[in-house]
Amino acid sequence: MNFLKRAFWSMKAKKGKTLLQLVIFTVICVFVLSGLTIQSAAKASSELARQELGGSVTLQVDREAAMEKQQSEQSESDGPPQFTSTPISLDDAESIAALDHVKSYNYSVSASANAEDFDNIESSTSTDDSSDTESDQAPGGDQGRGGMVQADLTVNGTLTSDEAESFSDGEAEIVDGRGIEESDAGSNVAVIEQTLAEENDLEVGDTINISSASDEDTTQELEIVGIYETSSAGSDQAMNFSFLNPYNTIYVPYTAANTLKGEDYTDTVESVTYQMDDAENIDAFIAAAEKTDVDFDVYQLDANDDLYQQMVGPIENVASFAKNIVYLVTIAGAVILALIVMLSIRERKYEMGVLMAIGEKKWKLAGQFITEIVVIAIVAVGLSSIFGNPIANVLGNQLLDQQTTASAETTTTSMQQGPGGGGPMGGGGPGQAVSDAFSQPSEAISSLNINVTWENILILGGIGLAVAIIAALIPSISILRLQPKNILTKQE
Amino acid sequence: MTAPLLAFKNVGYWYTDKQNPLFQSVNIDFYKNTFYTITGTSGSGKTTFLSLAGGLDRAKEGDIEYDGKSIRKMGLGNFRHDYVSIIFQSYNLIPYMTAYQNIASAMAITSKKVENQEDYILKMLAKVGISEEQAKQRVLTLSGGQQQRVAITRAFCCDNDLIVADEPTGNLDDKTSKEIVKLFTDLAHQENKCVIMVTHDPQIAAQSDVTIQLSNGSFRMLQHV
Repeated sequence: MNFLKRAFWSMKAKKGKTLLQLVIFTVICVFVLSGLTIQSAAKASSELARQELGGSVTLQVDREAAMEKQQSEQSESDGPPQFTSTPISLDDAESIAALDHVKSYNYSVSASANAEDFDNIESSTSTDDSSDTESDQAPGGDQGRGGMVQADLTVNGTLTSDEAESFSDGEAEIVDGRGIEESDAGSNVAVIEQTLAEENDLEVGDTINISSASDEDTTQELEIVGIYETSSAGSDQAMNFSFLNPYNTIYVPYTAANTLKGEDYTDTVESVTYQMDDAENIDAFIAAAEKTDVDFDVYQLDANDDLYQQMVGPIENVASFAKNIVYLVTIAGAVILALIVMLSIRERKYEMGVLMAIGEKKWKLAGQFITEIVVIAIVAVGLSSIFGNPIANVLGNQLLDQQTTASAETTTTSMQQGPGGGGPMGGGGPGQAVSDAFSQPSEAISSLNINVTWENILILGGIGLAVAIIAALIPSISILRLQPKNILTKQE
Repeated sequence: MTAPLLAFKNVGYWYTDKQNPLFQSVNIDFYKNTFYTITGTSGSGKTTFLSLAGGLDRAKEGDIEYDGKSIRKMGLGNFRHDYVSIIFQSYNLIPYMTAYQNIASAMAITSKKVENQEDYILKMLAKVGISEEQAKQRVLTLSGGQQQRVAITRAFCCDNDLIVADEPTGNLDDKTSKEIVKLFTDLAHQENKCVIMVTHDPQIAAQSDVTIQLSNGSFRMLQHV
């Protein structure tokens, strides 16, 4: 093992050269480690985001297909165009809910109603009496019956109100009583907005009467089981239409909403939102759903992972950039180091000639040079594991800031262009989801929890050793081909 | 009759043109306990001949035997490792090491083991006039004569029976040269070694036991009384 001693003596004697190689190797290792750390932190963050958000898939009527069908039917008959919608049967909804990866699901039925024994919240420019059935037009959710009707209230039928969009995104919050629960199906209960309750002195336990906006003979008595508060400002259209005022939205079991819409809607829903256990499984879920008996000529499944995509978009760019850093720095570093070591080893031809003349084995000579650079590599890996963490943090978060800013600018442009669909009258659907996602750019992951892990250091160690060995071996091979006599003769 | 330590058997050598050899059909035997000098004009092939004897180069034809075994068959690297010590005009010490480290490394490479190695090396260096303090200095801080003494001590410590030296006194003054030659003579006679030295200096050649004169590819051996 004399070659190890020689390596140590050589490094000790040539402190300047050793220090220079150490500095270069450390810089390379710091960049590689930063890249690796940022990459793993970005991966961990995006996985966490994916698992937290889950993503959802909505089963609803394929409006485009329905429109095409309607147009073709219209050309065959001379009647006026009439848009019809086919509600989803509960059997279909449940058959899909039974598939893998469904964490939870919720039904959505939208209806419009008029207040019978209480006053709805007046819109500021509304001139009509709140109980006047002529005052407003019905929400888009009732489009299935055709024509435009007038209404005071938007009635959202749901399986569980906690999973209704306004509640799940934090816009609405129960302040008294409870929300609509799965066990409420079939019963006439309601959750109303706090302002509406206060204006009418209504409390949990009181009852209210509403009538269907499309058929005033259809009335319902609802027991108030909860009061919620909304932070929604509502759309501009709410100034003109009372039912669009967020205070005038009441939540009921989907069965109660179906009753308001009419007998044809019994045991049906307008849409079903399936929450996924992991956004990664959306494609697998859709593929499995398409194999069920549900008629996908009429219905469609829309993946709603826009929020997830918006959140992880910048981070994935950072991860991709970090990966490139690792490749680039490793290759460039190996080349630079190989050149430095090559020059250094060429300078040591004489030493090699002397040692070979004494009888030293060639592999031990190569072993000495490799040992020298490997010792430097080990120290460099150690140093970079100390300095790598703060540098990776600064670098990673700076990259993410740039990406987040770029993403926000893109989002703003998209919003100006209009995400399409889900207009003020749409009341839900994928267009609305896109709009919601774009309206929350602050939700994008804006910082990375970057910590150098043992795994990162082990990978760096592997890369460092490979670079060191290659950098020492390539120049060694060319020198080792020489004969000692040639080396010493040329030296002399 | 004693068997030769090193024997050149019909050895021939040329650089590129076989028709124009440096020398051809050389048959010379070298024995232990003898100090040989090789003389000749520049370009006569002295250093090449020594390189062949030291296993630094390969004969183009014929064979060289060490103790009856072909050095070609045993491998030149193994031959150098196990049997020969080489001393050059430019000392050939590892510049970043101390005198002590140079000798210790050579002993490790040639697998020469002694008890209490440090004391042994320091004692051997002291014999050639290198103090302990000088032994622990970087070898380049020593004078030329001191470096050559270190190189000779390195060869001595490796304890090989064959020692080849290429003009070891070429860079030294007369006084130091005489001391160095005395060391080689002692090595041959007191330590029972076979020493082969290339030199330009007829006075040094005269101090050896046998002088081999190279001239135009021919060898002439002169026995000194």
